[in-house]
Amino acid sequence: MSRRIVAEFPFVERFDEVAAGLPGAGLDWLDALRRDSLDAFNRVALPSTRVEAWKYTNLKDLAKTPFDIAASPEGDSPFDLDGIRAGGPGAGRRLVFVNGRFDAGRSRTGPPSEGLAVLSLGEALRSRARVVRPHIERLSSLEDEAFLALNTAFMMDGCVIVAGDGVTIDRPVETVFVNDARSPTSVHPRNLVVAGAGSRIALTETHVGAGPSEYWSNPVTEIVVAASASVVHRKIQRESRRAYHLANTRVTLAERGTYRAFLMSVGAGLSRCEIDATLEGEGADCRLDGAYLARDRQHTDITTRVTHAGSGGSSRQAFRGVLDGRSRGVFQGRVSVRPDAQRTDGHQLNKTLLLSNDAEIDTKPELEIYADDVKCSHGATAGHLDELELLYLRSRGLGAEEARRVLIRAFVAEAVESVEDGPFRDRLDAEIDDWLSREPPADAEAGA
Amino acid sequence: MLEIRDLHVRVDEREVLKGIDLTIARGEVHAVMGPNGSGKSTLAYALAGRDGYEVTGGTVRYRGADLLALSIEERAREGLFLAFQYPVEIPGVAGTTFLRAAVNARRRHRGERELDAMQFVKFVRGKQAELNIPDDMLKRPVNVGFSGGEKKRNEVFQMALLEPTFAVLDETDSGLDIDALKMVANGVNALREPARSMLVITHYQRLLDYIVPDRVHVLAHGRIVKSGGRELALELEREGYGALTAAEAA
Repeated sequence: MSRRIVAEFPFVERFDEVAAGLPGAGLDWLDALRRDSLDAFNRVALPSTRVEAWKYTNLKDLAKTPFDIAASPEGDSPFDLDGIRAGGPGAGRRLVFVNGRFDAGRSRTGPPSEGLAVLSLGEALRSRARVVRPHIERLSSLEDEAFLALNTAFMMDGCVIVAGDGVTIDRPVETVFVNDARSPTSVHPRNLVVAGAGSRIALTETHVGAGPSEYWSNPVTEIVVAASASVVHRKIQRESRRAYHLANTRVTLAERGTYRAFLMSVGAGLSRCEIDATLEGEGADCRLDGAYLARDRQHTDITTRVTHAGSGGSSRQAFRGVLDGRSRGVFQGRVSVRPDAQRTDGHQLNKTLLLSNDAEIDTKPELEIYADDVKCSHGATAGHLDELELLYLRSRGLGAEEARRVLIRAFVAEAVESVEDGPFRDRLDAEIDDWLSREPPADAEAGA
Repeated sequence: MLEIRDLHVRVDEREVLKGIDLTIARGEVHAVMGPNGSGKSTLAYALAGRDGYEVTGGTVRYRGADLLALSIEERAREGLFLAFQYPVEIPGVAGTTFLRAAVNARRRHRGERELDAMQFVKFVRGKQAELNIPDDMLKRPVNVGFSGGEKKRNEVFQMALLEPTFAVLDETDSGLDIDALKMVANGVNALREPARSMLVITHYQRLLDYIVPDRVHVLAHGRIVKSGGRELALELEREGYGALTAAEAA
């Protein structure tokens, strides 16, 4: 078996035609970059399970699906954001993207604010190309990453936040990615967050599916955290069960910068969320937490890479998952400590609750330590519901199902506890309750 | 109230109870005493319906119905309560959440209206003082980080809230110092009433100084080898289990 899966996606074959309709078309540097990225993608192709990092996540079904590029929604898309629980409460800034296109009507970019720009990528490429370009070019030049390359080649709209030094955003910027697919299509949203020195930014990302067809969402989010800046980044992945969601988040932190992420992965037939964070400056602090819930034949993969390049940095990772049915979870967490990154403090924990005998978790911690003065640890557990805990609850009159739910909820709650933002925590609670109350649907799903 | 006939129970392929006969009338408190390994806790778990405690023979009638036909939660809703020897820690579940779910499960079963959070706080408040259950203990996850005494007090507190018809207290005295023991015993005694029966399982006579039983049974090797009045407990205290259990084994 080869290390590559060669796929013939119609949208890739039709690159010239498709690219002409994408944001920033006509900008020479971007046109060239898209073409280079297309070449890179064609060269590396999709990774097969022979590639170590993809050992547990098989893309062969994705490769077989004749994906085209997502079309603009026809007329008014029938969904409303509250109906699909994609919107949070409050009146903060909200950017909505439907099928990879900015939906101004459903968005609130807010009043202009000193030192702060919150806008769509398309608009940023028009009005702030000078700010955006170096970041997009830098990220796109990275190694041979198939999904990054593909995203760059077909980069669609996304959210751009540029905060000047010392700027604080009171309310999180909400970004919502709605996929209303009527035929097998792909979207490639591209987000960019540049947090200036000492600035404080929070954003939430919600991915939902509204249409009947299978689709492929391939978002890339780049986050640049300058010295002493703080970025809080929360994401809910609730794509439709017919979706493939393959997301990449790339973060760099300068000295004393902090990045806090929370990821809830509950949707999609097959999902992989990669978070790559590099602590470049001294004393940077990175915390990645999350929860994944899966049932039936869902496949949910969380892959993190934290690189300690500067000294005195700390990283914490805690992910908890609940797997039912024949679902499969993958947690791959790599912590690399470079030779200069002395006094690094890195910890990682993955706990999974298996609700059925057919569910499976593959958890793979990797520590690569090239400095000598470091504190690093990792841990992983997988287990079933505790028989005595169930007995105790039932002996007090709780029904068997209710007792199960209480215990599952409690297990996930420990992951959610780290989220300080009340309204977002309420949303997470609602997701968990929804998952627990949902009957396993009988419909088909991606990969099945 | 409870009528056990020739009860045989197997755990992990091993027959632990080998024919128990025990009848407890309405309002009575019976004590079952016995050495370690005699089957005391097995009896408690079998009555509660724990999985893996397989009844291989005999019957249990509870208020005229077949107890063994009921699920764990149905038994609880019908008024059976087990105070655990080792109360289970449940991380992530706040005490009040748990207690309200339990109280409401029982109320639903009785056709009563469920209590909302406010009503529940009122309902609970009166009962907290008797067992010295501070608010803090109710906010924490169930039994997590509780001392031995706190756990046992919490069991009796739950019993007070759920107002069972029949309570099984499995070694509720174990691990308690004398002050905690008195507090727990007072809590139990306060719940004694003509419509409520109890089965007090204990290794030591000491508890029975405070919770005075109507009848005492000695369990050994999976059978009740002797029954008597309260004086039987004092006799055991003087002479130990040795004489009785040796006679049974012979």
